[in-house]
Amino acid sequence: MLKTLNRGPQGVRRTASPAVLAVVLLIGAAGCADSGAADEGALAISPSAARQAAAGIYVGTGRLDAIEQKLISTCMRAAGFDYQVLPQQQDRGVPQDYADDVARARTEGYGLAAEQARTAASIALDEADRDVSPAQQARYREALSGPPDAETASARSPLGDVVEASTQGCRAKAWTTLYGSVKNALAFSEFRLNTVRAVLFRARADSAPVQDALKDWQACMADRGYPDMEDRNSARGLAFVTYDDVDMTQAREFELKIAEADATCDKASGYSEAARPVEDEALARFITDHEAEVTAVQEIQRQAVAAARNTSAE
Amino acid sequence: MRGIIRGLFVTALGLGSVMAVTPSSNAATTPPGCDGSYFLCVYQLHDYEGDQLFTSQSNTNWDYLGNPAAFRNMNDKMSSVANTTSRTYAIVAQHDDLGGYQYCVTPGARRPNVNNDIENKSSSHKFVSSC
Repeated sequence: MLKTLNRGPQGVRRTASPAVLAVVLLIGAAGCADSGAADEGALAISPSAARQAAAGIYVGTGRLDAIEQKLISTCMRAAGFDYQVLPQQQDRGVPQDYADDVARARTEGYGLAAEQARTAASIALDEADRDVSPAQQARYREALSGPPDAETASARSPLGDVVEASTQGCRAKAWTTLYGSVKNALAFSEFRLNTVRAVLFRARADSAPVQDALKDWQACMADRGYPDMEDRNSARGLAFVTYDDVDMTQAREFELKIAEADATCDKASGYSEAARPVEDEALARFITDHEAEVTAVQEIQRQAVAAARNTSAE
Repeated sequence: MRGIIRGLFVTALGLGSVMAVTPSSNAATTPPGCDGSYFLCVYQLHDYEGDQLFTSQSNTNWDYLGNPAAFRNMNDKMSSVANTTSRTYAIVAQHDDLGGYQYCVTPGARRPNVNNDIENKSSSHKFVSSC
């Protein structure tokens, strides 16, 4: 379960920090009329506003990732290595690993074809970097990540997850330029890539109505020829790994079919309808309980966006 | 479809891009054996200890019968992980085919203590260009 750091006394409304208040105010009045949220008085942000607040963490991240790669490339070039970068991609949003729109699923699937093409390019570049002599490979690794005994920095997420990385080499230098330190870079990436997803996953797993809907969804999927769906994101996952296993045309065809079944069964089971308020409530609770950490991540993001404007890697 | 996919997968990718080694202790900050020759380094215990598995295989269900024993032995037993790629992310998931609880390991980062949601429960992985 979520930890309850920074909570006020039970039943006493807490005063939100300026950062959280700013998020709430920016979102506007839409978040003021929630229904069905338990103990809403104790929340620093309404459930209906929480998802938009969480989405704010992802704004500009496509550009930040692209500039990070360019900074690494510039540094690696100075060290004598050709480090190729991938094109910038769009910002990600709050993770949703299942389909709930039948029309979109039928025509776009989960949008995995473009993602897989980019993944193949990324893997090819990584493999090319290593397709050199062992001595050259070692020099490349040292330029990128520092020596094997380089000091590491670590960050702990609000959920207690620890992530660590080297403080030396071109990657650490790029992270420090953009985020102020390796620790900040790790904290920001962990939050946007894993923490929000974990909050949503745990909320769904802990909700009896959502789990009941999951069973109905699984039965519906089995009726449509997909009997081994272990969790709600299994359909998307199966579609994604299929791209590694068959040609793009076959994989795309499979993706569209299973995504349509996924979304159709979502409607039939009422899964999204049950999950959405549970997820929103969990996000609001998380933002309330971890206000200091959320504010710190927002500040890291703000500073990174500002640093990106000033970098010559634009 | 699923069985066909899995059969093709083994044919297409082969089984050469995986290595298992016996446990060793190493005081260096780089996890034991994780020298960058492979994309992903997986360990049975916290802090990169216990049985080790190194792989560059683009995705797999660890308990897939066509996989080497090293993969199958790591199924539902992994507690720490390192991503040694230059730019490619790794998704590790609770169930087969990226189902269930999942988390992303960024390039150059590592997790010394996979959390309780998935500790000793990981069963599949896939490399991706972003998470």
